[in-house]
Amino acid sequence: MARVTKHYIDGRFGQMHYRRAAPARDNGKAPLLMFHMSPYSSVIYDTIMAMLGDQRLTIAIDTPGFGNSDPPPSPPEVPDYAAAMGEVMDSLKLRGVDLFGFHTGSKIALELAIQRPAQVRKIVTVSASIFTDAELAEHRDTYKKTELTDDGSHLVKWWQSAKRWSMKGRTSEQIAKVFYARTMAPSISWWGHRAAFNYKTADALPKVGHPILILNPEDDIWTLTPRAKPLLRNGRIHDLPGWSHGFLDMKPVETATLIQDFLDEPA
Amino acid sequence: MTRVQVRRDYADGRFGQMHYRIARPQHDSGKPPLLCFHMSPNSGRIYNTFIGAMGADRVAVAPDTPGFGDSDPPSLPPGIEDFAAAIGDLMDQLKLRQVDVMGYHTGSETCVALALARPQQVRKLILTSAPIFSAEELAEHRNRYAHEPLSEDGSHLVKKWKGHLFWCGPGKTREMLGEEFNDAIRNPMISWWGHNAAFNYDMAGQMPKVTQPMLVLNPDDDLYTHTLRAEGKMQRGRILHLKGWGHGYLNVHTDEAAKIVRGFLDGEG
Repeated sequence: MARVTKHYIDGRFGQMHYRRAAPARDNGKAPLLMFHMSPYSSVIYDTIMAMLGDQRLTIAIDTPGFGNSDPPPSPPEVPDYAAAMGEVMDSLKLRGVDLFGFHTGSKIALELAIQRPAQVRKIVTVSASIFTDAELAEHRDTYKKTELTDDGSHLVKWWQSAKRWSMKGRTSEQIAKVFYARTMAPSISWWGHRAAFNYKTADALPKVGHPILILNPEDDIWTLTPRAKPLLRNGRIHDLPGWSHGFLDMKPVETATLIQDFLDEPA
Repeated sequence: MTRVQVRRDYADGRFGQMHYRIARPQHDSGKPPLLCFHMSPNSGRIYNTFIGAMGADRVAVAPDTPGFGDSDPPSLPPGIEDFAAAIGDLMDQLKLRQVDVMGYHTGSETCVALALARPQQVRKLILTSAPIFSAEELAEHRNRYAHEPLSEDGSHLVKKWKGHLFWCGPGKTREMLGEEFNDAIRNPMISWWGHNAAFNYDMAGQMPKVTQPMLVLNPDDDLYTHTLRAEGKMQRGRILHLKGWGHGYLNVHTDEAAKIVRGFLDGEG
């Protein structure tokens, strides 16, 4: 198991914070960049990074405004997030990279591949959220800014939502390990979902020629992901029935194997 | 009042990575750097605004105590001396030879322990509150701040939130609380370690050993009456009552607080 360490680097919006794990010796494999879902942070990758980092340099970056990364001055869009991630690649001198994204992070991964096609090798995403207009309106409402209450009901709402979408067997302790990250910066933490809902995955996918593996756990958007199938130029969808939020901690070995097998298979 | 940019970084210490916030003046003022230690179970975040003000004329650093914020935890429940030793590691890493120290509740005890462990390197101390408990109060506090099991329905969060709201000082907004609440719910299996260390430390016995000048700030918070007991336990110190100020005063009264702290640090004695 590789040691996971945390670091800062300067970016367009201020300091960017990331987690890093790497094998003892460079084995020539492309580095893997990981982007998290909204409104969490790279903490969701803590467990799996220790495994992925055994085989390749693995870097999970807090999206600007989340975790410990400084926020943009105003609500950003997915291309802004992707540009900030691209600058991290430059600063860390990473040329050819593989990308992993989770929900909002999936959109950042697709957009980064569109912005820097020659620097991206392969992409793994968790879900592909392709909404109908009606679904989009409903999601925008569900994930709008939450007002802080005196009675703490905003916390209960967040906690119960995390519980509701957790896969069977995920303990409160496992939820609590990452839950704090979704309570950071509550005045702007809705920016991630806002950007995600403004970004059209259905428009992005046909522009991406890189090999893509889409993991589709049985979570809150698992019925949306199959819509990606006709839009994929060079990819496939791998359904994960029975898996839902928390699988990165509950199925780390299986998930790491899925990712590694795909990244290591000949193009 | 001038404010400087606050940056964050990591250094290595005996328990792993230590996370800290740092503010630096544009020009070296020759004044000793100020190290600020937070209360339990928060992080250096509580000093974010304050060190931005203090950084105008000296280096000001607010580390996360090991096991809190983004600092790696020890493998076993630590004592205050362990926290102080880890802070010493940070001083060595940052090449800080002589420092002033400022602490808040648990952090006040870390100040005392550090002043005793590195007497040549600690120049002056400023404590927000002096946690000096009677045996009865200690038992009650140990019980109140014991490990809280996680609930299924989120009620553990509500309980914590309401506790924070109850002790929210004048002027501290719900938004300010919301910004720092995440630190209180991090690492829930070990977040009681800070209070545990604080309650195991013999503040009443250790404080009188400190030879450096000391200023104890006593806001109207949950440790107001306990802090009064510091009277007579300082070789060179005094208590300043911060009437009408409570938790959050570093954010609500940043400039006034910086003025008080500067007055003491830069004054005689």
